[in-house]
Amino acid sequence: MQGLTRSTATTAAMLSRQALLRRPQQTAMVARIVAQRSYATPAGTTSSGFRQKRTTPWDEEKESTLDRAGRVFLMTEMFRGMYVLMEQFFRPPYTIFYPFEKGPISPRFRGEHALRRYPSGEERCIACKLCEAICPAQAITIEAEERADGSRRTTRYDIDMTKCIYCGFCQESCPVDAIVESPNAEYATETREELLYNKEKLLANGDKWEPELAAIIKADSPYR
Amino acid sequence: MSTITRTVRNLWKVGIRDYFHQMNYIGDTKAGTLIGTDRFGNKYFEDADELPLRTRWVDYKVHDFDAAQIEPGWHAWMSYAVDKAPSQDPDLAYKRRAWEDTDYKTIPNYTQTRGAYKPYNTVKPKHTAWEPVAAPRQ
Repeated sequence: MQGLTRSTATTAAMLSRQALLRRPQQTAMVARIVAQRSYATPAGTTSSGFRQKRTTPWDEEKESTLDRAGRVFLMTEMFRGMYVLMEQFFRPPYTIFYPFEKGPISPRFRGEHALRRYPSGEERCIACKLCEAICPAQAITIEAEERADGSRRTTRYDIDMTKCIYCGFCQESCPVDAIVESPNAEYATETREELLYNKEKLLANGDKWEPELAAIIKADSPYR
Repeated sequence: MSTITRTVRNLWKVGIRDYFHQMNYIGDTKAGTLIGTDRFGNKYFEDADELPLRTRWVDYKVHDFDAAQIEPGWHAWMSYAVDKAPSQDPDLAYKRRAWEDTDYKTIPNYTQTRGAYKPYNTVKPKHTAWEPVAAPRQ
């Protein structure tokens, strides 16, 4: 009931503010906005069958009771439904015949993990442990040691793929693009043990998938 | 199940021999252009007139086929992530890097076989078992 107690001056001020906000757009501006529209917005008038017609309520129907009874007892709607089914029967199947055909994936698809190398063959990972720190499922375990040449490298890089939730935080956090989630999703195993990946397995994944990893990083780089 | 006209049309295009091969493996007749062959002999086909997401397919080299046998690079093409196949795009194509001794083989999924991956420790054990040293009796 606040509206009733509000003073007349306040109401007038509010109305004038609203009128200012709701001032009709200039025709030129509207034309410019419409001209700027491209995909995902309809340009121009819609086609005639764009909106569905209002369904006729039962009390406005023109159909006579005899017609309706005939429709029910002759099961015409059933046969129309069966005809729709028969039409599908004569169309090519929509089913994707996996593994001969495959569904689409994005370049940002997050699948099996891989550790990449530099083109020289040197492994990228510098054991900064950012991925281990950010991993929400705590699936990554890293141990580091000084290598013989004095550089800091991992001795242990384990990912428990049964704990991993495939959030992609590890590849986002990596400063040297070492840990990535490859687009591979076809690594289903028979036992849980085979999903406890160690460093060698991850490096082997990286060596195997490197051409595709490089290509998808390149494909995605304009949008990052 | 496919339609009779589509089956006959594709049979006419690919021939009897490929028809039986396709029915034994894919279970559907498909006719398209050969885009390329990967290092392992899997053949990749494309037909833009097919239904969406059925336009690219692979004919596996070996009888015991598995999706993991598709070469990386072709995998991206098969999954519609890229427009150009590795045979046309040098970025996606396999190149042996200078530090590699041999061409990298695609590892098929060896699960439940003797070749399956087994996790192992990559660091030295932090604890060593106590080795009792008995002092000689005086």
